[in-house]
Amino acid sequence: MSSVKTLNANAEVMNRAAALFMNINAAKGLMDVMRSNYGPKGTIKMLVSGAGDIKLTKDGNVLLREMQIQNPTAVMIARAAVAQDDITGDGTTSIVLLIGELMKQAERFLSEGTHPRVLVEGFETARKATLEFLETFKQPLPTPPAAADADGTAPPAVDRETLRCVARTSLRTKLAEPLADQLTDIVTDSVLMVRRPNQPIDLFMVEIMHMRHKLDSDTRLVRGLVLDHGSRHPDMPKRLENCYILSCNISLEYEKSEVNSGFFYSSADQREKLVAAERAYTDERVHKIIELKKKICTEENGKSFVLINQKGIDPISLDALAKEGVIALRRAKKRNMERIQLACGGFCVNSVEELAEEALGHADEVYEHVLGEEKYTFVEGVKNPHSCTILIKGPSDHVIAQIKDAVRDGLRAVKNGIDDGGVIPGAGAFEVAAAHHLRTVTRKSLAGRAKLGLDAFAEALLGLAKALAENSGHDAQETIIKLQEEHERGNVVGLDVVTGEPMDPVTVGVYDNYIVKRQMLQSAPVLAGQLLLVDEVMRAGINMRKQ
Amino acid sequence: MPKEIVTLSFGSYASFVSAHYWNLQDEAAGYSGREGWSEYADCVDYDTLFSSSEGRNGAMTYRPRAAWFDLAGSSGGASHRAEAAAAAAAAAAAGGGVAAVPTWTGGVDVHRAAPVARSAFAATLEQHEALDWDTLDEAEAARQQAVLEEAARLLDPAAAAAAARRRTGGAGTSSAAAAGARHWTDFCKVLVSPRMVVSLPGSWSGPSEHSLAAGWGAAAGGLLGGGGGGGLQMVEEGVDVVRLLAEACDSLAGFQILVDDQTGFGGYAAAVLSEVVEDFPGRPRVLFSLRQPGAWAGAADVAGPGLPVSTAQMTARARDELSEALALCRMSELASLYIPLAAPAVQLSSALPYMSSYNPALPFHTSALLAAAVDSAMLPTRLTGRRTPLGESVGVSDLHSLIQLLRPAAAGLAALHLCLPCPSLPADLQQLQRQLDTRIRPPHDSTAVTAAAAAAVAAEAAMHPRGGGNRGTAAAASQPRLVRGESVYGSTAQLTGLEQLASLTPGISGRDDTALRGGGASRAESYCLRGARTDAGPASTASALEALDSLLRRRAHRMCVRHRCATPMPLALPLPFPDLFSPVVSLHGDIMLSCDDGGGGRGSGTKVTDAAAGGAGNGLPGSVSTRAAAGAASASAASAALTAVPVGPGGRAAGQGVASVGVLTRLQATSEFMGWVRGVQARWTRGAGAAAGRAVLDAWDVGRDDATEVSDRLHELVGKFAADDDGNHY
Ligand SMILES: Nc1ncnc2c1ncn2[C@@H]1O[C@H](COP(=O)(O)OP(=O)(O)OP(=O)(O)O)[C@@H](O)[C@H]1O
Ligand SMILES: [Mg+2]
Repeated sequence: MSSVKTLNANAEVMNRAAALFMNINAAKGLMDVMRSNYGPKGTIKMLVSGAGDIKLTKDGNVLLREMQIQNPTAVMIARAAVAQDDITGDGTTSIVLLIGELMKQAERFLSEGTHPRVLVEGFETARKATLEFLETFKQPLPTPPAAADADGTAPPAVDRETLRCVARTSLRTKLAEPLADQLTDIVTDSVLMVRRPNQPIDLFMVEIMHMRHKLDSDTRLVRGLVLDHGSRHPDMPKRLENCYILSCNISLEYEKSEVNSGFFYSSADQREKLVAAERAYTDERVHKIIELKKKICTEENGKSFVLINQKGIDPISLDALAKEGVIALRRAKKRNMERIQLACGGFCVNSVEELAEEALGHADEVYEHVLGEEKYTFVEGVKNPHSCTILIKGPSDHVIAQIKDAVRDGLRAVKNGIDDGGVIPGAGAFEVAAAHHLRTVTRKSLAGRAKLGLDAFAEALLGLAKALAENSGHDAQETIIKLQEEHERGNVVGLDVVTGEPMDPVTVGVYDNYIVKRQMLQSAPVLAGQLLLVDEVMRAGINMRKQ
Repeated sequence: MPKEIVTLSFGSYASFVSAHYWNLQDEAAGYSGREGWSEYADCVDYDTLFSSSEGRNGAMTYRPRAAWFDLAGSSGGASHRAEAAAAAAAAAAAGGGVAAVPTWTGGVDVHRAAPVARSAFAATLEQHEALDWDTLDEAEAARQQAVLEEAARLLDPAAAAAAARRRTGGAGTSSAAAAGARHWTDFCKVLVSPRMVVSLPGSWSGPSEHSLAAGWGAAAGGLLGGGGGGGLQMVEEGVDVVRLLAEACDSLAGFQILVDDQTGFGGYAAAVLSEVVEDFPGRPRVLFSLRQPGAWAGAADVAGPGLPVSTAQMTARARDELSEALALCRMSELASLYIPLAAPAVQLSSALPYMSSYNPALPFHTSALLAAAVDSAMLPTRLTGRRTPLGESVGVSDLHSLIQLLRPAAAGLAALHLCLPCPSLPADLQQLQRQLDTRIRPPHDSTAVTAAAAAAVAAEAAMHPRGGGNRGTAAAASQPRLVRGESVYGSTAQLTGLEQLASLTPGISGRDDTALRGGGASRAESYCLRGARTDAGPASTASALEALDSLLRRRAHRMCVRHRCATPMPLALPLPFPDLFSPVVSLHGDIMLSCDDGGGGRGSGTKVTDAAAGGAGNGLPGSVSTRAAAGAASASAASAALTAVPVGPGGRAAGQGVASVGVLTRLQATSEFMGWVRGVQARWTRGAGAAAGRAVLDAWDVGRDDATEVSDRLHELVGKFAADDDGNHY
């Protein structure tokens, strides 16, 4: 990271040439820091804090956040990467590399006397052409035959196999293969589970939970919820089966604090009465719930009753509920109320008047799990879950954090795949093909020096494939030539990172997201252009420094 | 009955205040296991602030119902991760070329930040935690205790620098130890659950030098989601931490919140609190707005008249002015009570006459003072009805009532005033006589220490270094042996009037004479008098209240709603509390007037005293965090060594701290705030109108509409006072 820190020049007073030089260096410097991360064979970065805490990351975005970047040019690039992550959830390393490569290629031409404006114009032409080419390169998701019972209540069928490949490709760039493969189905199925007809996919409905466990590392998909708290009464059952689930937002605690204050009452007697009245009010609500429970949980149906409340439940109320064999949880997360509804059915009840069997959800089992000082409650075995939980167990916080980041990326990749309705063959296939297209097709439509910018752009795209090759320990030049040759034979070719030979990413199932490539192609050349037209950049740079 | 209070601290200075605050709680809780002290200590309900849970082996663990929100790096060398040791080993292995990352098969690139050392105090505490005190012999126990005491002394930057000077013979004092405590974790002695320390992204180099230091809006881009990058996630995490704390409460009474709200932490805290307000309707929130000493409202202009002002200075001033207004408007909406706090900016001011070592430039000192004030002012909300030989606490209240009392009086604004140590109460001879007659022997009665008690205290303290009363170790024994009756009327400084209360709220003096000049008048007040003393030692709560009332009767102004609370438990000072006190302050907080009266030793003389060198047997559990290690108390006679110790007029040996003090605090809602808000308004108008100010607001994402809202809100606040004045509410 030192290469970034040392690029700490004072931008305000630089002349144009020096500023241009600084921009190029900053972009290349940032690229150098990130380059070794790129791809499934990149290096992982272990950041050790002053206190010895560890952060593991292979993610460009996380790394950028951890670095204290001060150089204004580097800050601008980092912002583009952050935007890339916000919009697509992936491709942050790629975008930093592409900007760095564009600047590096530009430097060559600039040193030969080319004016930046000429290059920038070439970039712009190439950008548009590449984006158009991207559309032709996109492979639509195969549409499986619609399920027989497709009546609009279920979301349209999608090709699970392609999505699995998308998930696996993403996970393998962040985690060792066995672990990535284990997570592939979990990630794919979670996204498919939370899909609902005619609604955007809400990834918040996939909760990622973790448990730190010295010996156990394992990740599993819970078809239901895991809450990070347990019941607060010693006599409540630790496990119930065949459960009605009542989710509600009703205060079951005695909370009228003013009753307690000594100031505002003329007599102790008056106060006592108010205390009793308030208590009765709370008890009444608890009894309404117990009444419902008694009515619907009969010996014959063998049903049991679980109460999950967003508000508080005080000890007296807990006591009453415990006597009835109810598991009651208080202060559940707001988002979990929504998730219970989607996982178990029923709806969140806001007042005792709404209490009815229709409001209740169902789960096969609800049980408590204790781990050290922490308690968890599992709500599992639900009929038609539109919300689920990915539970990560790992030996240490930093490993858990790394897996979590990877899972988030994987979820995002699958969602993008569905939203895009298609995928892009990966492993450098797109970059090689696009560069070829620019040189053989687009170039013909240009006259004069604008071709220079286009050449630089094509070379920069190849830079990504070269980084992939280098990080897997292969000679970049040689590998690229092999890929180009194979491509000229009319095949879609990517790099087999193990052998260094060309391979077909479609047969192997290495897919990237369309939207990731598109966002990268839209923003990277524009920013590179700004950095080259340095007057504008300086103004932007000063702006940034002010904050 | 609502009782639990959740404490949230947002900010790096807030972390300092909070760490001191929890040390005070831990210390007091530790006293409940000490011989002679338990009934006094039990006047306080520790469950209000601490949650307890039973571990697998039946041992109880106590954790503060508190969360810290601070920047990454602010915890220094302390790791809040449970498996830090293992992690460090993994890092070392990876550095050595061995693939130590189970989740990755490729290369590992290790980037290591320069290691940050933990304080000797924190390190010693941890070692002591692992020690089996039952098996140590007396000498070893005493030695261990001495090590901890020495480490604690080095936490105070002033003391550490002095010690370093002594060591090096006055030469360079650049050693790391001379810096004293740099991080809140260097001196925090309560065990904090890792989940409750939320570290926000940013860079940190000191409690007031960090990436959020540049005003209210400094978090606008990164933390609040404006610039992307997981900002909203941090807010969500904050809300979730609060929810977890609340889930552990059977009946949540409300929140007390410490915020550096003139910094970017203010903006972040506001985002979290607005959710909290929604999730916990009806739960009051007392908010202490922390400022640096010297950040007094209406502080002088940056440059003197006629001097040129640089752009940077203009911007800095604009930031301060705008932050003040933004924080006031936003926070006073979210809080039930908004209490601006700053420690006095001048040393040895009339405000703190008995704190000669107080250094306003040291956050370690100023935050300790604020923590003591907050602790005492809020004490009425967590008292029990426990009877003691000095009577039971009077004026026991709760959070809701306290706020109901103060809130309507001054638009939810309140000031905090402090007397620390609180001088002796004026007591008439008859009252003194009554006190002397009783057979009460409170443990903090300096004239009543018996050799056995002293030894027991010393022994017990040595056994439980984390717990209460370490300061009393050698101290108790060094007290001059006096017969109770020997105390002389007038030998200690007296509390002669309430103007002796120092203001900790910038710009609100709280003095009567201001009222006479038409500056303002108190409308509602809450007094807390704890561990009150007279010349004859600890006073009963009844006589304390009587004395306070007689002082109150002398206040000449219009009607005012008043709450008074008196409780026998003094403020017990933990080891890491800096020794701010003048030598005239005695072990238990008496302020000795003359050097050669019966109450103390001779000014610079040397007294031969018993210095207890640790005792045998098991002590009682020391503190909240170590209560679990309880053993039976069977203090046997201590082996006493005769040592020559120089004694100050307060009767303390050199280098020996004060163990406990009486404190008087006042929370005051006063119309003085009208002028105060007007000041904020004027500075806002000036700041927001200037070019530098506009640029600052732009950078903070405060648009024109928001700015108008702030102006309106300030106007509304001022209006509330004016309306009250007309209506003559009180
Ligand atoms: N099995 C594979 N073989 C070859 N190339 C692969 C394979 N899996 C992924 N890739 C390629 O690796 C690249 C992605 O690498 P990586 O995920 O490290 O970077 P990124 O997506 O740009 O940034 P980040 O994920 O850090 O935001 C893509 O171009 C993808 O095609
Ligand atoms: Mg990626």
